[in-house]
Amino acid sequence: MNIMKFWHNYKSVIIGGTMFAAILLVAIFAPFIATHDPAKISMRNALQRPSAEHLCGTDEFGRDVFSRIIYGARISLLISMSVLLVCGLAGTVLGLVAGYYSLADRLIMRVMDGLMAFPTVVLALVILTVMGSGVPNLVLALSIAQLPRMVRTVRTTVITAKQLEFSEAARAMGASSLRIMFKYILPLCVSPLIIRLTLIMALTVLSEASLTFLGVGLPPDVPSWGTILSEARQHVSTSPYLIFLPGLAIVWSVLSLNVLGDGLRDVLDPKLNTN
Amino acid sequence: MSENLLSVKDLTVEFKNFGETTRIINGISFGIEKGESVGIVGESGCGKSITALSIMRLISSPQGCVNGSIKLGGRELLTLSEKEMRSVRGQDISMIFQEPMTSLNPVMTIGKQLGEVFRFHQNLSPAQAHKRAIEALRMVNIALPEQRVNEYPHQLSGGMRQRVMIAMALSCRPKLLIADEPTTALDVTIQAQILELMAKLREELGTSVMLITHDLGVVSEVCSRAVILYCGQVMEEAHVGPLFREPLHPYTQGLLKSLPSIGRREKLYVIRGTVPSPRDFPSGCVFHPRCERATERCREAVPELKALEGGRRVRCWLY
Amino acid sequence: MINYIIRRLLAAIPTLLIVALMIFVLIRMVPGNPALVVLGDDATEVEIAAMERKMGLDQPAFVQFFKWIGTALTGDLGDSIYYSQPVVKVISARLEPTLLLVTYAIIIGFVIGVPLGIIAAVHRNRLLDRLCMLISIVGISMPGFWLGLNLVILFSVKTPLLPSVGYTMIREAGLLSSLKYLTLPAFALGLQRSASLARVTRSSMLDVLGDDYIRTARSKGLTNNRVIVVHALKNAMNLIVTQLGISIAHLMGGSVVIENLFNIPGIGQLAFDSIARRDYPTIQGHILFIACVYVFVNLAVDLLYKFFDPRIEYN
Repeated sequence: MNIMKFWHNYKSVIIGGTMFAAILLVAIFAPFIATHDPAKISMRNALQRPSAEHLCGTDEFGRDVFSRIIYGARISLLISMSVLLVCGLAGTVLGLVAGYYSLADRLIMRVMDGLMAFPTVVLALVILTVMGSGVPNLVLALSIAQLPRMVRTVRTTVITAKQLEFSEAARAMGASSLRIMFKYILPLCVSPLIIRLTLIMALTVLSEASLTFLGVGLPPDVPSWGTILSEARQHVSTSPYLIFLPGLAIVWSVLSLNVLGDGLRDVLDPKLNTN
Repeated sequence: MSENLLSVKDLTVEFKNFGETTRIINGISFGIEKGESVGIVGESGCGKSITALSIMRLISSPQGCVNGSIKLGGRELLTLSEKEMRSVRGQDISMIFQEPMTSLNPVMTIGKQLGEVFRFHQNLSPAQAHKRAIEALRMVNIALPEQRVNEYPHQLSGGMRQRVMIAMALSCRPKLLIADEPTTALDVTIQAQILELMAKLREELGTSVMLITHDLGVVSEVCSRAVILYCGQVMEEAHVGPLFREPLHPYTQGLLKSLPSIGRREKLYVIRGTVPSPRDFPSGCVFHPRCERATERCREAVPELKALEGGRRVRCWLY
Repeated sequence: MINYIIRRLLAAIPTLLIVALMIFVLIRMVPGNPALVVLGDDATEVEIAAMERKMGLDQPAFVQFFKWIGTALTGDLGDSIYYSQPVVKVISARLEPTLLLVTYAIIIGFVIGVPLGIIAAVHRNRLLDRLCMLISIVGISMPGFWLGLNLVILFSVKTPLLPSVGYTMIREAGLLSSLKYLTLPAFALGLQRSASLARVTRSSMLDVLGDDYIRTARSKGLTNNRVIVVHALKNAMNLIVTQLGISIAHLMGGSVVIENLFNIPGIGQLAFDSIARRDYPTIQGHILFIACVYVFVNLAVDLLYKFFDPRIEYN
């Protein structure tokens, strides 16, 4: 396969993956990358424009915005990856049950349809009001919001695999072992799951930003990107950089996930490929 | 060489993909006279459809690269502007395709699809086009045309849809009709009806027909001449009678031998090997790996397309 | 067709009931006693008990639920604790800005997104396609409120063209004034929708453009424009309409944040405030209302399918 074809096929995965790896590394090595203590208040230096000293300027409390954005990456990635775990596990279990047992299927899918009728933000708001703020509750609320799509994906996969299993068995007629069946079925199951998880993570980063922007879900001293933007709201006329730069961080993260998701879809599921 | 309506000379078609160029058609030349019916014959993948699409200039560039000369009534088609070519399509040259099921727009009524040709090439009003559409349906023996004209393709049978395609293609009285495997997707009884209809219309309207098919049986019934294609090259060209009586090229001989016939009790003959993909065309004579009479020379050098008596041409070292 | 509509509406009832149940359960889990909220911290036990009886909180949960459903079916969603008015009245007073905003936004999304997707599909893999798709994928990666804030910076702060907060009702200052206040928020929501619509349009068109009847249409000598708009687009509408339905759902949800940002007194803002105030009846009413909107939107989408594709039968 020549290099042009390789690039054409895999460029989205490579670009998206690299972008995401970058933000992941930033989150992991935050203490080394941040130039200042993100919580250090210094009223003398409040609302300064970006400079060599403060790469993204300072906020109304004099805190270095650049460092806050860097540490904000930790928060957002932590939350969204936790949501992936919780939603992934719960969704897989529910989807498997729904796929195998048709009685449970009807009940589960009705409940999922009901859940999908709630706008994500409203649902999360209600859950957070019920359970209170904090990272675990935020993760729970966002997981529940994304659950229906996850369950649906797993269920569809199981149903497809069930049909395949029987036809494979009929064709193979004893010559092929369970191993070979897993060689065909497992990749088929895994691909839509990976794609769905990538998209869920992208949506979660956006939802989390919206919720913290509204001031819900996390205490105000936690430097989530949404919180940073919420604080910047009042200064929109005087200090637009406070809004522009943290938002770019969000765009970068979500974009990397969307590009990665697109690329994975092209690679893993050629039926959906329209190129 | 009397006035050829269609004259194809040294047609080559290449496709570019990620920096790789694949030559699908390699120097095809043939002609079709006025009112003549010529069969373009070959197995799947030998470039028959691509030839047809090149004549209609429906190959999308820049991936597809068409070179050579295609003249209709003396007019070079490959150098026409897109606008000029659009007035040629549907009016001077028409095409019908293999799959009547999917070749009609499922969300447009038959009448509208038929009417489009009239509205665009003859500038008729919608009402006039509607009337002409009904007439066109009558011309292809569709019953109750006034009712059918407002129906959708999914409400018609396969045979009827192909008739509608024929009506659409012939409504502007084109000089040349290209039919790409028109009967392959149809039941045998419907096949006969469609071929009969095409023959009748050809006589009435004086249209030349380029019939693309892999079925030599169809060729023997409908065409006066045949061009045998293999791997993007012309292997043999002759009038149908002499071709069937005395096929010259080993490929043609193989094709004829593999036709089942009533009464013969031997095992069905199969040309050994398979059609190579355009990326792995053999050196020398493209047919040599599958030819029973291949020699060293066949492997080394490409034979010329040699003109023999009686308007026959053969590309083979045997001649 | 009427039969179909009725059947669909009936089939939606179990889902709506489940939604109602879920809301009910969730709300009941919120800590804090609404009677206390109304009366204040210094209320006596007797007063609290009386208020609870008045609000029906003393009865068992499922009795409360069925009572609520029963009255809801007659159009009475109870009274808002905060506003002391029927929930229906409270919601309908705030309906206008949200409906206008969502309509405005979806029109923007459609008018920008679909042509963008068509252009991308037609110039597949060339510069214009890549550009359109780059803009689209960045568009869906933005938080709506961030886009809103940037629009405010551009059109309200740097150049004082459009208002960034507030709203005037149509009957107060006319439609044009209302639209002026809604322009920035509608673009914040609509541009995002246009990005997702562009992507779906492109992929649907590419699918369709590979079909046989497009080849037939070209072979008839039709212009490229006609082939795309008349032949291809109508067949691609199926997926585009589906995305439209999804977009409307997103907009109803996204309006919460945008209304908060631009200070628009719509039902999104109402939901947010009611949740903060523990105004159970209003929250329940709001979510039930949204669920009903979804049912209608899904039904409308299905009916639109039939409009664009005559092959679809109702059975």
